Amino acid sequence: MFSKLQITKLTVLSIIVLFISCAPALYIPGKDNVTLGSDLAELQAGRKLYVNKCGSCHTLILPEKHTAAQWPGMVTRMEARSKITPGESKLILKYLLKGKE
Amino acid sequence: MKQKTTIFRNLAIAGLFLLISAPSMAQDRMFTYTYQSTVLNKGQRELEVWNTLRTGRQDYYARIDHRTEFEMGLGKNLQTAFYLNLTSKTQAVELNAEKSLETENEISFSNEWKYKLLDPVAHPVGLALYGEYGIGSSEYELEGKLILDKKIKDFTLAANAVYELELKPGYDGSEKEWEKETKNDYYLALGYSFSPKFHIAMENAFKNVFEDGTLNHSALYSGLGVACVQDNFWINFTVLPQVASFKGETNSSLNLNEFEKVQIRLLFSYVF
Ligand code: HEC
Repeated sequence: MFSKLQITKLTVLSIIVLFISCAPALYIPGKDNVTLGSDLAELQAGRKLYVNKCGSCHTLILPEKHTAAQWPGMVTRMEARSKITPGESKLILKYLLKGKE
Repeated sequence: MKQKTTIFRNLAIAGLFLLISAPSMAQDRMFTYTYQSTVLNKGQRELEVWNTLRTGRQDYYARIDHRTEFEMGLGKNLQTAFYLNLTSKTQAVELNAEKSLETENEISFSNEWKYKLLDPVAHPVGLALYGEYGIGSSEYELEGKLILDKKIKDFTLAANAVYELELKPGYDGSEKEWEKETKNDYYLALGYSFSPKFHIAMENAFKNVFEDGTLNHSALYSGLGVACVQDNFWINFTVLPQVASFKGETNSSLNLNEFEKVQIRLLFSYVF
């Protein structure tokens, strides 16, 4: 028979395994996302900045959550809070807009 | 008793007021006891005020821990923090079959370092490493944490494995010696976001204390908490009762000699 202690340890372990097994939801830019306005290197830099600069107060928000009309205003609003430069925020916006049309 | 009810009622009213008046979101902190993998950006700073009440042992016991923490982001996913810790503990002591109350107060300083390796949204799982040392006049502490978290839709899951080494000076007769205690704790928390400004959480703390390498006492705490956010300011409140013990049970299935029946923590944070 399992002891109370073993059951507790097993539960903890299985929950940890469960949440490692889920795939990440934040898209990785590929050739399909490249448009006249942004090349792959910019999109990759944008993702890196988004992951490193926008997750400190709230967990990252998926690009699909907001429309192409909503994102620019939101990124501008978050710029000062994140202590990023206008150049960095431009790249982040490019990355976020690739999630949709 | 009546006084306690009033305190709870006031807290509930304050919580409700915050809920209604909070205009916006941000959620860094869903949990009060369990850590998430987030770190501050370079240049971001945060002030946190922690208050923990622990009470309910076999004999009278009440302990209040207050921590004031100043955190700052150093860039490259690294952050550091400095804490000033104040502790006050009142408990029953027995001398020649007579009981009396004794109060101990303690001040200590700690410094933490946290490094984020993986993000809970961008990667399969969020991962951070955490190290802390603490210096007091009667206690020295070293602590390491492994932090995992994951966000799935409106749910946030976090798990921590904590290892802590405590050294306390003492005397055996006239011989000075160091008492060594190690702790191995596991935290598991599940949070749900009703809205970006209001979250509820279920937290579990599985605590194990070792003396000279053998498990001395062990207990499981499980409780509920809320987190409310307003712009760069947030409040977390959790009530964590002991639900089972695995070593050192007193009457019932709880250990009320080394652990208390309930822990309550209130945390305020401000990012600037
Ligand atoms: C200093 C903390 C902080 C940082 C850093 C931060 N945010 Fe925010 N974010 C907030 C707060 C607080 C809110 C809610 C209040 C508001 O909307 O102004 C918010 C809200 C949002 C929202 C709207 C809410 C939602 O659920 O969709 C979006 C989108 C967002 N942030 C994106 C970003 C992006 C992009 C970055 C990086 C450039 C960023 N945030 C960095 C604090 C922060």
